[in-house]
Amino acid sequence: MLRYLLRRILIAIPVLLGILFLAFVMTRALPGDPLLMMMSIEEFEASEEFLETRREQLGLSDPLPVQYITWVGEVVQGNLGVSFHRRANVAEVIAGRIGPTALLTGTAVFMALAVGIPTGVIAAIRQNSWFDYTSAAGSMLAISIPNFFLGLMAIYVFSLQLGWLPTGGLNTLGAEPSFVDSLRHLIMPAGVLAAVLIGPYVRYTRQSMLDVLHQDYITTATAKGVKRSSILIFHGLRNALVPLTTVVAIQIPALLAGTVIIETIFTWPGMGQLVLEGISRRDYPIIVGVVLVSAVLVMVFNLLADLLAAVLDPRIRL
Amino acid sequence: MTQRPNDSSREPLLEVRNLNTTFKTETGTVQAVRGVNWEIYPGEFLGVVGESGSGKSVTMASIMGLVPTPPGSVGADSVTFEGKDLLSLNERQMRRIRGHEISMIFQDPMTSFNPVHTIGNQISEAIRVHDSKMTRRAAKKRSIELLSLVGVPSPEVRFAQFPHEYSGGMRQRAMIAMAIANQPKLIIADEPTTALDVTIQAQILDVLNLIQEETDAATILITHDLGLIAEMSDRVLVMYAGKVVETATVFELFADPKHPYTLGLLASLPRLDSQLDSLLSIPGQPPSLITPPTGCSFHPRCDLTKGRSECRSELPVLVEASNGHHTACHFWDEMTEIAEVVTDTVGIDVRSSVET
Repeated sequence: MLRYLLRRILIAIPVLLGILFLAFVMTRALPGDPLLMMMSIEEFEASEEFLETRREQLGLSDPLPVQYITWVGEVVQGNLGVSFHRRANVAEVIAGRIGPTALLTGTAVFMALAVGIPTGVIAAIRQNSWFDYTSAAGSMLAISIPNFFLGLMAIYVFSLQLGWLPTGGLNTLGAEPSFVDSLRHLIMPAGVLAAVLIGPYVRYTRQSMLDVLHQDYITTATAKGVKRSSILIFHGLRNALVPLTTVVAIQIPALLAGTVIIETIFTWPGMGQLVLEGISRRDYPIIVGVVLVSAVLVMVFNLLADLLAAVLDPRIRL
Repeated sequence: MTQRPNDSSREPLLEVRNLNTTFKTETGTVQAVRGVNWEIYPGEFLGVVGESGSGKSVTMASIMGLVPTPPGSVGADSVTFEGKDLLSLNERQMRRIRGHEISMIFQDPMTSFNPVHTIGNQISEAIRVHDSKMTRRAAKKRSIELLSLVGVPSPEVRFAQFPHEYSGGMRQRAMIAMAIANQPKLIIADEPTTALDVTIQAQILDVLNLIQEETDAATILITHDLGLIAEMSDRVLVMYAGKVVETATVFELFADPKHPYTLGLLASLPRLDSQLDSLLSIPGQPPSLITPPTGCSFHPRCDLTKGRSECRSELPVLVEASNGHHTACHFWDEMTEIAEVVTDTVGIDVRSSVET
């Protein structure tokens, strides 16, 4: 177990180095000049020398390999650098953004599981019933609708037409922060994000459950006189959840990508919004910082999923 | 039905009358079990023999209500167990029978246990579903006793282990422990040794024998192994193409088979006491159960029919050939004749040569 963890962490090091390299190369390959992006009109009319000085200060005048090595050296020591645009420590900026993103994605996954698992289970038990077909069609629909469209439609219906929910933000500005207020702001972006996840959860739960329900040990349990409901949960769902852990883990990158769009639409001050701002302003340290943090998160959650699968299925040896 | 006389041992424990089980498939309706009649008495050891697809397992699954419907469909005049018609019980009443009055031992111990729960928990579950007052601790104690009874070494340790930590033979022992947990009146063992090594098979059979002595439960042993039948059973049911074709005491069946199919099975056993270049086999294929042959379903493969039209047109019913020996053959009285032909081929009389 400990050896396994150690091995996984060791494997993570070259992966992270590779990600650092790709992130660096790709941001530098972006067209545009960060310097021009961060200048005011007055600065725009400044002399070439001024630009050169700024470039020097930001470390952008060195040859790319030198920049890269200097930067990796800093990152290894835990220094992600300073944002060009925000002129603040990148690590601190991201730290302030990670909470809202965690809340948003966590709620979305929870909502998707809470809806997806029971739906998948019922679809499996009533295979080829109208419920099964409806859930299949619904899942396909949920996967097919782009989330920016769904997000905009949700704002149009629930905020503009019905007036039930706020259009965006973490809280109502100026109002006393309260749980209900936060929940009202959270539910729509989380729901839209969850919609993308629900489809696969339903389909995988259904398939996994169908596989399990045809196993011999289900017949054994029936022959023992166990109640149908206990069989479905204790012998069915319990076993069907094992492959689902992998599905949830595999979708985490897609989930983080989804936050970029959802957070922008719902003006949710998280990492997704931050990285989009970083990209549009060519704020290299921010982009690479968010990419790095996302990569670490993905790897951590994959590890957790593998550990959870091993807990759920004693045959899996770590 | 309500009578419970002193000589209750002569009342069948389970009586099956005209049981039919069909499965709807894309290519047609499979008539897996076609109007079988049989009974088992308290404490009796009944062997059920027949080749794959003869309806042995489906018959038992039908009785236990384990046939998935749809695609399956089960019908019978009656399936009477201790005065109760099993087919008319609701799911709740049936649950009280399963694992409590009648329990099953399945063929493949590798797949018949849930891999994510410990063996101990699965045995405990079998106990606790039938006794709501049973505490977790008491069920554990009882499970350990049961594991010990069926010969699982260090049962306390084994209790907490998962199925994948057990060998095949040990799992089948645990399966037997689970089956006898509630002291059932009837144990149905569906090919309990087929998935095991030969050396382990003997051990499992010893356990089954021991269990029967201990609990005095009636036992049905489903197998395609005539050797097993000879060793274990009091009485034998031979099934072919979803029907019972012969039933007799084990001694009668081996000494004087009254159905050509039974004789064919005996003749095709590998033998140590005769020199043969190849094993004898029954010619032809088992019939399709979607469109079973008309008349006697064995007639396309039968040596006794000699082209007679009765075999093709008339359905043979079980008739009593001698006391307690039933056969479903129009020409059973000519059996001696073809048995001699078989004797000439094999070089030894296959009848009675299996030790009983």
